[in-house]
Amino acid sequence: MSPINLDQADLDFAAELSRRPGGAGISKCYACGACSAICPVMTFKEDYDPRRLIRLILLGQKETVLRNPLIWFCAACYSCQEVCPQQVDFTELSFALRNWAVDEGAGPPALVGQIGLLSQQGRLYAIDEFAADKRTKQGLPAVEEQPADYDKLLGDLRVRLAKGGEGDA
Amino acid sequence: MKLFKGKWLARPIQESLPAAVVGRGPAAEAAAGAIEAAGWRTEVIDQVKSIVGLPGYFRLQTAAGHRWAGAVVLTENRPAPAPWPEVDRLAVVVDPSLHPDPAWFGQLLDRAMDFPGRVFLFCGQAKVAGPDLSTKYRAARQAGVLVTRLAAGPEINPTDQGARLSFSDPVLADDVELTVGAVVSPRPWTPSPELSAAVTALGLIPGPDGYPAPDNVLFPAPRTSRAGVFAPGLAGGRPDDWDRDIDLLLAELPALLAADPAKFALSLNSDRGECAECLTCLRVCPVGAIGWLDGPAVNPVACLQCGQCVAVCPVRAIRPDWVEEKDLIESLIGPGTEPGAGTALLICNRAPDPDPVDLPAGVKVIKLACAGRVDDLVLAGLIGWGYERILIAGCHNGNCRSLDGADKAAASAERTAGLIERLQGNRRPDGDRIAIRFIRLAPNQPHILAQALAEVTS
Repeated sequence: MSPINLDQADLDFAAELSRRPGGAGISKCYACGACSAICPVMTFKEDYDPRRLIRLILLGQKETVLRNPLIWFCAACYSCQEVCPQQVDFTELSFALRNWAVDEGAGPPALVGQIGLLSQQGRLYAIDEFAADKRTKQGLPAVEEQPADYDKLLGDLRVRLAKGGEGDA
Repeated sequence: MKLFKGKWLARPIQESLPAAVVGRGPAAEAAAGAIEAAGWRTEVIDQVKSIVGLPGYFRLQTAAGHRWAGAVVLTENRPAPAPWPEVDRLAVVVDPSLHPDPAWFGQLLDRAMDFPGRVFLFCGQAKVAGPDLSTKYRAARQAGVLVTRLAAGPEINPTDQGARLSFSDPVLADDVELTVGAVVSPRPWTPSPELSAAVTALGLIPGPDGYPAPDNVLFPAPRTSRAGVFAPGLAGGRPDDWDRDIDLLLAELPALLAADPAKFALSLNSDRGECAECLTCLRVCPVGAIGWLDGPAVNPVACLQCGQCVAVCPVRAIRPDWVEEKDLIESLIGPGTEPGAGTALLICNRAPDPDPVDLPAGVKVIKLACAGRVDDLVLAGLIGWGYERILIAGCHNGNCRSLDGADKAAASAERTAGLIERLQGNRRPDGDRIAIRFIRLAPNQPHILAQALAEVTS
């Protein structure tokens, strides 16, 4: 692996992140590793390591972090937040990173697809005719799809995704 | 006598002694001002060569002569830290072997935050948790200061534009490289030459960075490891404790500075018409315990009973009651003492007790209050009396309660041994009949004493 070169690093990355919602904790971390010790995700995804991610952020590795699929692995169990002696709130940090990644057009492609489905049909899995017939036979009311509501809710995110994608291209 | 009183005796026996403020600049002025405001006399002294004595009776040797003081107050001006070069990217590398105190590290973070360019701060085990320090540490990060703790420090390769640094990141275990315009290696405050000289002269226990009196349980600030010597605002490097330190110092001054002529009332038994009034005893006393009160007078509180004044008195006028050396005096000059033979052991009574040691036969043990009592005359007298092998046991350097008594004994032994060797070399070709040896001992080293005795007697 080639060495990390700080001359090309965006060394204000951590400070900028700390000004984003959920990112304030980044400047408190002492790298004690309590989060990595308790993280349940690490038990099945070995390269996922909150402490490493924090250090990469501090070293200004903006592209490496935001384009890293690992930031999407956090299961939001809040275990790290329970044990952190410094109230770094790594879970919140994860959300801040994901939001930023989306802004940078680095959101995972599946996310774009899922937003499309929700906006078009109001749910990820469409109610097909077979299921609708079953509901009728059971005396259940027909499902009324209201994709417009989702579109309203997710419209902003879709715009951001589209914008980030454009910026990336 | 009047001449002596006016000209020679700087020691004010009848009046109260001042507090000596060692140092110069604002800190010394502030300390002297506070002490004088409390009603005590002070004397500000730039540099001292040596400080001897006990609480209440310190003798400070300066280039211009000596001064007496009841208490010693060490101060110093801390030099302004060197400015950092104005570059876009600056590496601040703190020697990882240092364990900087939190106050100093806080100042370093302040400077890093105020620095116009970007600062990469490398340190070993800097403590970042503490009052206000956590906040400062966060603020520094917020300001873009990159703090990296490395056990061994980064590798620094100078280039034309500055330096190229590389290190293995402690968290990532990956190699990291960076280019900076300059590298600075700040150190915590180092003591000024004046303060270093005073610390050496006093034999104080130095702190981690050379300051006196580490801030610990035994010597809480402003006290130092020497009673009666204070270092306000220096212990633990916390200048903001100055006021508290001065208050504590003032509270202890009355016991040190109040005049008490009765302390000097004990005579040295020298008023037999033998005293030559040469003042040698006053000069030689390692703790300045001897003053002048119509003759040499000793301060019993300060006196260590080392007997060095007895050794130097040219007319042997001093025969103090408290030096238990009847054996020695008698074996040297007293009538009725049989001439000795064989081996003489001259031993400081703070060295191991020779009684339980399995002594070779014919060893005459002479216990002394201090090995410093052994001078050339004593050695010559012993040889003249018939002792051919002489072992002198003094204390280790720094352990001698009379400061340099053991050193004086060592010098006497070396001088006399050299003289004897030359005599033997000329007149006795077989030449090892007379042997003089000096050893240093601690109270728990009787085995070394036994070994040395065996060597000397064989």
